[in-house]
Amino acid sequence: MTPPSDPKFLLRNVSAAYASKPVLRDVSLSFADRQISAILGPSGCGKSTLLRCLNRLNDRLPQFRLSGQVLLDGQDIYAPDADVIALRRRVGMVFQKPNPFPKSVFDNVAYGIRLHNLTNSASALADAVEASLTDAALWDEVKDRLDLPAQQLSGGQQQRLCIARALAINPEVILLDEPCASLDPRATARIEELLVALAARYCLILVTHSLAQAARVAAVTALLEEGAVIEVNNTSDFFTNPQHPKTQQYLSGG
Amino acid sequence: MNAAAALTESQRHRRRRWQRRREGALTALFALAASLAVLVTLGMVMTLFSGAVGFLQRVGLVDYLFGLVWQPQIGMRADQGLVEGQFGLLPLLGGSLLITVLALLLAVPIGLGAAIFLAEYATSGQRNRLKPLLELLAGIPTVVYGFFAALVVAPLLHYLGGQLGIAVSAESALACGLVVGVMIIPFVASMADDALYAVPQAWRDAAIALGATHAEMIRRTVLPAAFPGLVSACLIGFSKAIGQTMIVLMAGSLTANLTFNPLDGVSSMTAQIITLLSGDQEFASAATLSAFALALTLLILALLTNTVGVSMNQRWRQRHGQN
Repeated sequence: MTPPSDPKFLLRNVSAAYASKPVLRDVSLSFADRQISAILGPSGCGKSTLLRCLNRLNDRLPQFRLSGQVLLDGQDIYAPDADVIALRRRVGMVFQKPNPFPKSVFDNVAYGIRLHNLTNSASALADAVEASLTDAALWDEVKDRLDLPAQQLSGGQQQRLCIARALAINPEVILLDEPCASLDPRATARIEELLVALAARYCLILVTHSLAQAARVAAVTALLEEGAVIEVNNTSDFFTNPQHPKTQQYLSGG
Repeated sequence: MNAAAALTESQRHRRRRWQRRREGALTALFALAASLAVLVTLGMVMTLFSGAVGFLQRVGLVDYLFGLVWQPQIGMRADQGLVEGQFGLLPLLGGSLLITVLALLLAVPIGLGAAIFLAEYATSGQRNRLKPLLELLAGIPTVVYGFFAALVVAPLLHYLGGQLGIAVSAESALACGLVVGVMIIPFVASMADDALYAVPQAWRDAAIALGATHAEMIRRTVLPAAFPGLVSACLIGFSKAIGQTMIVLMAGSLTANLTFNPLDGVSSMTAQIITLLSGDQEFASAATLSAFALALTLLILALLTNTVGVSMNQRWRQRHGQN
């Protein structure tokens, strides 16, 4: 495949390890803006670690080491003078299990807005919360019960709330770590529909173990095995015309 | 063949019956253990209650609850004259609360601070070493603390006050409060640490991924999420402090002064109970019976604070939808 001419994220020879256990081996990948890129791979292949390198969430693990370059719009996010907080404001994340805070629906979405003082009045805050919930296709379901504890929503609603929470601070990239892993097929379908809609405005990077999900939503798909990139291609070519024998084996369920 | 089978069948039967009996006996044993605990508690409450009723018949509820003077020592025995003492609760309640408030002022910030360090900043190695140490501190007998309070802290404060020209009693409430506070720090810290540690990693990740710094994550996510547990930790501190006897008995004043000045000497309900019940006294005297009233008052106070804490936590859970 041809790498996108102007990638949002560019990884050059990234290797990573927990303590002395290597997790990523010489990964070079690029992720284009305004599309969904999917990362496939078996459990433990390092796909979540890869995702967490992109917002430096792994920094919190004392034994974590990373080498190589991760460039966001051409800037190395691991440069010594890089601002990790600014990075995380630009790169939002949605997790495998919906993890709304034990707060109301409103306070969940408002969390990041308040944290970064993005609005200066209560009405502006309410507008921003409404806009984020609308973008996350949740507004109509919760507009009359914004004070409801978030944990009383259904699993699918909770995950869309987490997407709204991430959208609220106007990120450029959204990392999605198996966002439908704990959801039923209907909730999954709604999230996928939403992701496709969001791809018009954001760079979405989707880690998934579901071949079907990658095939349905992603423009580009990559396969990771044992921390190394096996194959990257346009999604249709990736599934219909896999080049690498390991990809062929993975696609046939081997 | 047939006979042998029948024999084993009846053997099996007997074994099964034996097993059933053993199960029944064990159930009864555990039920007895459970009901004993309840019965003993009930018995204690009833004893307290009847003693307190006997006391209130002599003194009167209003004089007890709203009296400003506590002087049970007058006429403790019949042959010392018939003057009844005065049994106003307020100086003792005030003394207990003053010492408790002073203790909590010390123990809650330090205990919560220690818990935040343990749960949020310490490496797992540090935590594994410090947590058992904290629990060890909680096991020090209170008489050791009392010793320390009476022989070191109280005289020191008295001396320092003298140097600065401030009148500090040699049995000051401040000294008692400080030492009681030190005593309850490990309880508050250990329980608060448990509460903080139980906050799911997923919420911390979410906060960090939204661009929160470590301190912002703690303040905006971990502390609010751990709120019910932190309230329980403070309640444990409160009940430990208000029920504390030995330190106040050893370092506090024997006379019950009605004051809110921490530099004065005060006594507490618990210390008075000990004084009233030790030594030779006529059992049916108002002085002895007043100990029952004090104990019942303490019990009711503890129940009230617990109820307030539980309802606070319930309201929190309703608002945040956790169960």
